[in-house]
Amino acid sequence: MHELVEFLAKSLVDHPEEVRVTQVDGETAVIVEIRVAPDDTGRVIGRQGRIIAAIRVLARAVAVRQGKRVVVEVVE
Amino acid sequence: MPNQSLEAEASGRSVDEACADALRQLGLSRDEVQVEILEEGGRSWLGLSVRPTRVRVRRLSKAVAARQFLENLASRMGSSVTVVLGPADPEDELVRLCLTGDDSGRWIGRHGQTLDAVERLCDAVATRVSLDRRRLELECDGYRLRQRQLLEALARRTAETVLRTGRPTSLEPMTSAERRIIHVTVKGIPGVASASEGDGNHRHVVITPAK
Repeated sequence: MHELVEFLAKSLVDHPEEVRVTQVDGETAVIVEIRVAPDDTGRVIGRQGRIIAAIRVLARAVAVRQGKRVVVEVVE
Repeated sequence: MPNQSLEAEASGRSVDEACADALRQLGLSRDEVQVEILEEGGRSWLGLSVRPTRVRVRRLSKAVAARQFLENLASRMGSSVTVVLGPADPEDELVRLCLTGDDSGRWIGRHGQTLDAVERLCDAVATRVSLDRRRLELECDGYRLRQRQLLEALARRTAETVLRTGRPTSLEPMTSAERRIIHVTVKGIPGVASASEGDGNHRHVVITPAK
């Protein structure tokens, strides 16, 4: 999960070296937090949140195979 | 803010060093460009002066950047899907790619939502790399074609009802791409017109008798 989200975030931004993705594993849910350079925030969120919504769809598609819920957030 | 040029040139003591400089100018990484070596550097025959290495790096085209992103994504998803370039768009407004393979169903998802998400991410990444703003359309084993045919049939059926009853009819909420297919179909039928109403997830097409 962590690897997928990190790949997506790094592909979207201008400063991939500043992307940090952390993952917290719970029993039924996984929390993934994305940190990027301040001027890259818009690139991972997108207009009307369309990009982060698409990242969540993909993360969920992978998580259901592991029988888990996943929460993906961009942290400032 | 990275440079918006399609290519950049730089020189350095080695190919790596020259590339690093050119890539910094464009704000891209090595696998997002084509590298051309303009001049091999080295020492002159007495070893007194050093000629620098010169390189030119050029942004990948939208289709190539998109295919590369999809292949990397597939390997991270543990999927064996293959990416092929789709047919050229006669109006040149679209860049088309197709996914094909045994587990392509995984890439479509419920109501095509996985495919829509992958298409949106792929478009964003390939636009950043190529600066090409044409829309990216991602097909997956004929899914988009089948959806298009279903939507066209729905538009024709609904238009007939509207013509018969003279009453406006609303369709279910749809994405902009789906609504576009309805509008284009309705436009080809005399006596009816269509418009989109509602906001966000509730945006839907209403077919009415033409005035």
